[in-house]
Parts: sequence; C-alpha cells; structure tokens
Amino acid sequence: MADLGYLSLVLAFIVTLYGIAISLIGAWRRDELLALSGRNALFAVAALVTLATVAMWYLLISNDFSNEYVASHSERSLPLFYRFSALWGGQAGSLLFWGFMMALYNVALTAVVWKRDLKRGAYLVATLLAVQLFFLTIVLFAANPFNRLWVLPSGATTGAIFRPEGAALFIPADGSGLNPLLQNYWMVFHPIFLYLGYVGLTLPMALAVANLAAGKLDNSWAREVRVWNLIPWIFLTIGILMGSQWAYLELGWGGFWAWDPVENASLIPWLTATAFLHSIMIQQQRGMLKVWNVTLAFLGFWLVIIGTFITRSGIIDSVHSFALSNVGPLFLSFILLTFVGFLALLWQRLPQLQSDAELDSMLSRESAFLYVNVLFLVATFATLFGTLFPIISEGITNTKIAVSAPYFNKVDGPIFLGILLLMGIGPLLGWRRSSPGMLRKSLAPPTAFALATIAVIYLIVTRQWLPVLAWGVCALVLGTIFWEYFRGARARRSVTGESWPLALLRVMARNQRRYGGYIVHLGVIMIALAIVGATTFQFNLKKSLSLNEEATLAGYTFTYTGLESEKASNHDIMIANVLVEKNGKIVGTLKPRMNFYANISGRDMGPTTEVGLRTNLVEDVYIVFNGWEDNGSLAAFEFFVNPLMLWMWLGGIVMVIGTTFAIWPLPKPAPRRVPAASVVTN
Amino acid sequence: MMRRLLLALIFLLLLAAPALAQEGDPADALQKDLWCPICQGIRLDVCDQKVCEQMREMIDQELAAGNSPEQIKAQFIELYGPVVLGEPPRQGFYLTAWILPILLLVAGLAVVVWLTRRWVQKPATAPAAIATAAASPETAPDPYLARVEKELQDL
Repeated sequence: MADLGYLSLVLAFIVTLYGIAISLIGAWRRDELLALSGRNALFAVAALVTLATVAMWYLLISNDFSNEYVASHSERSLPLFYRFSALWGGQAGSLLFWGFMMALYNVALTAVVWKRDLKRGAYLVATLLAVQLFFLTIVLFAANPFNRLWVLPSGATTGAIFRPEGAALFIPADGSGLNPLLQNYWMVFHPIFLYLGYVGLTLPMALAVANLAAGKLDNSWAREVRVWNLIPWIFLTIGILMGSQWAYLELGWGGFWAWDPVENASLIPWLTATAFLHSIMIQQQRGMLKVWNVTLAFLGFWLVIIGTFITRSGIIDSVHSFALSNVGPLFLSFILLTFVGFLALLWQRLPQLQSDAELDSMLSRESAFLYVNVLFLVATFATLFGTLFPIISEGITNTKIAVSAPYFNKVDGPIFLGILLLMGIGPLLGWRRSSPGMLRKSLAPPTAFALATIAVIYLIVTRQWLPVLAWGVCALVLGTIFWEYFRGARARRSVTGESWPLALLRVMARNQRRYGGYIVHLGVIMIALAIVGATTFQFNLKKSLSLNEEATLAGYTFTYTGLESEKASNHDIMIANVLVEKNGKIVGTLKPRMNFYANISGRDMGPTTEVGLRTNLVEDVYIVFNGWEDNGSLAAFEFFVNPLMLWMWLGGIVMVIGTTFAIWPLPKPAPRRVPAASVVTN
Repeated sequence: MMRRLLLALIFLLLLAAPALAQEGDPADALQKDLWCPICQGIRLDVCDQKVCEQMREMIDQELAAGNSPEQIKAQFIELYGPVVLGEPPRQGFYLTAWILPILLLVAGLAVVVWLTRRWVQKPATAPAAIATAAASPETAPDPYLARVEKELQDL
C-alpha cells in the first residue's frame, strides 16, 4: 500500500508537469487538442492524488506501523474515527490531505468553467496544476507521508522511502499515538472545513490569473468568480468557528479566541476574502475596480500560503506548531515566486484594466464598499503584522515580547466596529448615487431602533461604554436588515397586491444575493453580540472544593459531590460531579473531566481537560476540572459564567443559511402573479 | 414589527441583566490585565504554570501591602520583561506596531476620498442620464419603491 501511494504521488508529479506544459503550449497555439489533453491531465492528477490519499488512510486504519507517519501519529488502541482523522494530525499527512482537497476543487472548477473559453481554460489548468505541483513537491521531497521506518547500523531509527545504506526495516509493536488534544470530534471536522476554505481560495486566484493571462478582461469573470469565492469563504468561516468551539471546550481557559498565530493565520485570508466578495460586486454592477479585484483574489490565496508558512515552518512558537521540518524554505520560495509572477502579469495587463464607469457620487453604495475595503485591508495588515511582530522585534531589539489579545483587541477591535457601522449604513445607499436627504430618510428607522436599544442597555444592563456602543452599532445593523426586508416586501406588495409573507419570499427570491447577504449580516451580528457579551461580562473563579463544599459565582451555587472514573480504549477518564443551582433551584449536574492518555511518549504534556458545560441563550455555565487530592476529598476547579456564548454558534449557522440562500440556484419566480381568480377558473 | 422586535430584544436583555450586573475585585482585574511570561497568549488568571501561580500570589500580597495595580504591573515588567503586558510597549521601536496600522488606515481612507473625488469630478459617459438620475432621488416620493417598481416592470 505504501508503495502504491508513493507511486501514485510520483506519477501525479510527472503528469502535473506534463499538464502544465501541454496547457501552456495549447493556450499559446490555441490548439484545442493540446488544451484538452491538459485538462485530462488535471483529472488524472486528481485521480492519482485521491489514490495516494486512500492508500494513506488504509495504512492508518490497518495500523501499519512500518510507516513512519502511522507509527508517530496513531496507535492500536486509537478509535477508528481518530485513525481516520490522523491523516491531518501531523505535517506530512496534512499536506497530503491538502493536495487531495486541491485535487477535488480543481476537478470541480475545471469541469464547470473550462469549456467556456479555450485559451482561458488552458491557462486555468496550468495555474491550478502549478499550485498542485508545489504541494506535490513538498509531499514528495520534504515531508513524505509514505516514508518507511528503518533501523540504521548505528541502532538509530530513521524514516525514508528507500533503504538507507546498511539499514534494515523496522516495525514497532505499537505507534506513539495521536496528540491527545486532537482527539476531540471538533478536531475531526474543524480541519476539514478549514482546509476546504484555505485550499478553495486558490480558485479565485486561479480564475484571476487565467483571465489575465488569456487577456479575457471583461466583467464576466466578476459573476463567475463570485460563487467560487463564496464557497471557500463559507467553509473558512465554518472552519474558524469550529476551531473556536474546540478551543472553548477542550483548552479550558474559558475563552474561544486567543489571537494565537494559528488562529490569526486563518483569520487573515478570511478578511481579504470577505473584502473581495464585497468589492467584486462593484465590478459586476459597475465595471469598476478591475485591478483591485484581481489583486484581492491573489492576496487571499497568497495569505493562505503565508499563513501556512508561518504556522507550519515553526518560526513562531505556539501551542499549534507541533510541526517542525524542512518545508520552510520551499514555502518561502513559493511565496516570493508567486508574488513576483503575479505582479509581472498584472503589470503587463495594466493598460487593459481601465474602469468602464466612473463614480457618480461620493455618497453611493460603491463608495461604502470602497471604505469597507480599506477597513478589511487594514485589519488584514494589522493582524499579520501583529502576528509577525514578535519575530521582527526579536530580530531588531533582541528582546522577546508577546503580542496577544490586548494588542489585537485594541487595534482590530475599532476596525471591526467600523466595519459593523458600514454594515448598517452601506445597504441603505443606492448604487450610483444617494443624496444625503435620501440616506437620512432611510437611515431614520434603524437609527431610532439603535438609539432605543442603547437607552435600554444603558438604563438596565450596563453603564460600560464599550458594550453600549458595540451593541448599539449591532442594533443599527439589525434595524437596517429588517428595514430592508420590510421595504422590499412593501414595495412588491404595492405592485402585486400579494400577502406580506408571499411578497417577502418573492422579493427575496428575486434578489437572492442581496437578501442572502443580509441573512449573513444577521449571523455576523449574532456573533458580535456573543463576542462583546462573553469578553466584557465573563465571570470566573478558581477554587478547590472539598466534598460537598459550595462555591458561588454570578448567582450560581456549585457543589462538588464526588469523583467517578471511566475507561476508554486509549485513555482513562476522571470525572468530577458538580451540582449546579441557581437561586436555590437545581439546574443540573455538570461533569467536567480529565483525560489521561497512557501513550504520550515524546510529548511534553499532562492530561487534557474537557469542560462541563450547560448552555442557553442567556449564558453558559462552564466548569474546568483541574485536579484532585486524597482520593477525591478535595478537587480543584475553575468556574466560568460566559454570557451570550450560544449566539456565536447560532450566528455561524445563520451565516451558512444566508450564504446557501445567496448561491442556491433557485428558479426566478414570475415577476407578476396571475390574479387569484383566474387561477381558480383555470 | 419593529415594536415587537424591540420588545423581544428588551426581554432578552432583561433576562441577561442579572448576570451582567456584578463588579470584579482589583486582584481579579489585575490578573486579567497581565499575561503569562512563558506561554503564548494565555492570560494570567487562567494559566496553570508555576510562574503564574507565584505571580497571582504576589499580586495578592502586594495589594494587601497597599501597592497600586500600576506599581505591581511595573514590578512584573521589571521581573519578566514586557512579555507580561501581552502587547508591545508604547515606546521606541515597539511604537511601529501601534503606529503603522493607524498610518495605513489614514492613508487608505485618504486614497478612497481622493479617488472618489477624482472619479466624481470627471463624470462618465452619459452626462444627461446622470443629470436625470441626480434629480430623481430628491423628487420621487420613495426612490426605493420606484427602483423596485422599475425592476419589476423591466421583466
């Protein structure tokens, strides 16, 4: 199986080289047969990479410890589920998985858009395969998951594909196990979605590059690229939120986002992809910002590669960077090469990328999009710069400093607030031009709603300025969203005389992108509500309790009622029972736990914790169990009350619903309904 | 609909209110303002490292001795370096981390203002059409409705 996997990768590498060459020649000579051969090469590469991935899964699931990767990332007692997910539990495997995702995306994009334009299609295949080539190179030459284990004459073991001089095959009796932190179901799904997001951001870049190279510079690409950006964008969104959920449940520090370099690496391309999906609308509507849009499409992809480089090369210390290997230089060369290549291509096409239209007014939806673009870009830069700053400053001043939440909250926080504010105003501005009077008129109801909300929050909930301001802005956006729905339905009703719900549904179906976008905005507001609530009003208490002793926090009473233990296939579980009461009423028993993995050789880590959680729309009760003494007569806990956290996950679901609605190919309903009477007679 | 929404939100906030009304103590506030000198990005109040335990004890002792939170913070910076702040100090070279994003923001906004001005002053293809478009929003009773109506008729 290892041979089959390795052979598939080598073949894939060769076919990729062939596909790039033949596509470029095909594009240059406008030869349909050559271009077709290039496209088929892309399909063949996808099949070969899939075969290699399946081979790797086979090795993992069948516990083939002669394989270096399996031996160091799995073990006999690892549940099947995690043996499957061990593919992305380490460097070499996750890079193979990356290549696999890439292959699937390549097939999907090529199958849909290749035939639309011969020359563009050929350049597209060449671009996609060039990225594929990069990952195949890394997997084959720097981090090969099919390496076998060998024992050298000196007695040391090493991983290699071919037999080193004088070495003999080595098969350990058992593997050293998967990192216990990754043995959580969120960690099975989070990487899949994150990778679907990361890898998918290659597609808008490839479309931009192929269109530039083919000189196909009209605005049709704006419509085409939209969906190929939205799909990876929503996957990335889900991936980021799932990662937060994992951090929240597994790391046990009461938070969901630590501004860790790995988290930042996922946020940075998300910011540019979000900017892109807004600014591409200007091009679709008005034929403007052509240079800017191709640049953003490239940036999304490029920042993914930079982020992967930062986190995978181990240049920054972080809990996630368990990966240290020789992939760094390869990544760095690729980063520089793609940057120079893109700039050269853009420079060459610059004269043909003039705007079709000019701006009619400084107050229009176009200008709102421009401002929000600036904000997204500054947030991208600040986050990237902050993430790299410890390295930069250590290089220059020789002093190690930390750049954590205080910095990012202070710098990114106001920018995000600005983005939210524009989210409240922008949708009310018309394309081309709005007059201040018109804006004032349409802004009045949402503003009134926002002011009322601010008054209520100030009088009843809190006098802290931050939540009052932030929630006030959220209320403005909420007001705008509902006002937009209301106005749309009212306008349709006045023309068609339909009932309110029908008019609303019809008007939504008539403009899926706009109303789907508002649903996504609603999800964002729910997440903002949660972030502000949970960060501003969190309560926590560290306390050790003896048996039946109580602790109180934020109106809750916690009573420690004893320990129990369980055994799982590869770890022992110690569970603390905590009775939770609120105002004298029993809420339930929470069971925070500690997991003791027997097989953590070579990993400098203690037991992992899993929190006990009770969640509702108002607040989460969240208990971390940190240890015990004297057979459980004393146990150490940390109690948290995190307000409004559930809204974060619900907001994510709403974002998915909105995006799905925006891109779902609905049949357009008839603009005018036949009067009800005639339907009956028919 | 708006009123009902407002009521729903008020109701929600009323539900949340009791949980939100409590104030923290100074030791707790200071712990939440400092960062573990070893781990990356872990706050002092939730970190399990030995150093952090000692730091927490030290905070209690110093506060009991009557020192201000600012003084205690300065002590920690002297002991462990600026790492405990969790952010670059606002002095010397570290200022770049704070200033650059602001500069970029100002520059970006300036570019957009400059661009939109230039684009507006150099009107595009059909000046007549724009003149009517400019006049209509002010005069029409509800321009949004007019737009939707127009879209519906176009079909």
